[in-house]
Amino acid sequence: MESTDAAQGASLLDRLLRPAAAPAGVLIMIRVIDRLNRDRFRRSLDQQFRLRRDVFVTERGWTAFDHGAYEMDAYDTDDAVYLVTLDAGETVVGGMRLHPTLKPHLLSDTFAHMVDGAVPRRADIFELTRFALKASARNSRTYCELFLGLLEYGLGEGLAGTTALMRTLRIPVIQNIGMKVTPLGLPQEIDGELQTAVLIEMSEDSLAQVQRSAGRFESVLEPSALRNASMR
Amino acid sequence: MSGLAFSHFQTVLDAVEAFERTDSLAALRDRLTAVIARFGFSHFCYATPPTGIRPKFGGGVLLNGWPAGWFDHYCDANFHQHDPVAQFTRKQSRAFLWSEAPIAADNAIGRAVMEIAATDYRLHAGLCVPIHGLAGYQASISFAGAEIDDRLEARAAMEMIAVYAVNRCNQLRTEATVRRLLTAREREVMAWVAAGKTAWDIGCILVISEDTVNKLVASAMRRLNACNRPQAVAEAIRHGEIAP
Repeated sequence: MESTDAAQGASLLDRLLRPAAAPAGVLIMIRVIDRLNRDRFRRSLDQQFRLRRDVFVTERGWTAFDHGAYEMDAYDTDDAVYLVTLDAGETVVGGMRLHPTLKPHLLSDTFAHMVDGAVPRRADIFELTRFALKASARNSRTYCELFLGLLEYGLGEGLAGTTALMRTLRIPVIQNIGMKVTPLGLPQEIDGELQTAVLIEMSEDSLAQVQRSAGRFESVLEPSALRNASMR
Repeated sequence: MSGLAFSHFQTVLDAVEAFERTDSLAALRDRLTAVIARFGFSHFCYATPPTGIRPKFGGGVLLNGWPAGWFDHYCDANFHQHDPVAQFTRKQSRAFLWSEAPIAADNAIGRAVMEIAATDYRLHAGLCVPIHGLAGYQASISFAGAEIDDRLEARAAMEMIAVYAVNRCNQLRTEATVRRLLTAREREVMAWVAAGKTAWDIGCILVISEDTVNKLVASAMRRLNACNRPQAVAEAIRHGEIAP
């Protein structure tokens, strides 16, 4: 399959000046899957659950969420929104899940003790969970592009931010690419890892910074995602 | 969270805010030194490991809060090569106490490094926080003092303080290399002007007076050499001050 470079007819100079191209078979775009289109994108959704099994059950040992071929929990409902990274072959190589904080969610149900004060519950704040990249797709560009997808989607939906539980020492990693992270409580040990409840801000400034980090300034969302947003 | 954790978290939030307000590396260093005193730490050092191109430790230091004598001594004697903390941190993904860093039986100099730090510079105990980037281990920030609070909540607070101090340090260092025309406030206001907001709107959004907004726009226009707002917006975008 031809690369996006060839398809866009980029000049030789463009290609020389651009940061090194992503390894073959990595990100082409981010697909947004929600209750309106989950039937249409059944295959991608399925691949996303399998990827989560590989990363969370097999790699990280979260055996409590082992559902055979899938990793799933109580929040994989119709309210969940999945952002998945598709490679050139339309295979899911990465993804994350967003869930409205106005509904019961992981932080409010199970990890409220990680938050100082009330768990944020607002129409414009979603919870981010199950951020995962296929081992072969773990490079800085794919990583940045997944955050670009989150920012683009979030800004398009009018989200102020996403809450998340993350390993404390991953915070510098995402701050480094341009994400603004605000702690919601002190780090605490969860299953042998030091984690922190955080609020990750959605802003144009973050988008610009992450675009610079990714070396990619155009939209990363699948065009139909934009169509879906206007349908709501 | 427990009562102790609650008050430590407030300390963290205050520190994060204070770091954001620092406008120079020197100010950040002073602020960080003041913040960590709460947990019994008197000094710190944030540094990347020596590389083939830059083999001397001194060249990789990003923010130096060590006692002057110790920093010089450490660099002159090339202690980094034998420092057990420096060796241990490269393989860690979590913060650790200096006392937790193993010292190889044949590493006499390594033992000496720790003893000299303690005896001559009152750095009896320390906490080292490894900082990882996308490509893995990147740098460490070490905190030390005569008598430190090594309880769980204090360590948790210190890790967060480390994360945000490091983040601010990196921002300041980047800002220093990228020639910036506008102040952060001016940039913020111009971003809203570019989005089509009126001065009154911007005043509401940023919780400042309309007058202040107009003053910020005027000073931004001066710095950008612009005669009117549309030109200021165009220039700001051209200079990379605001996103297109």
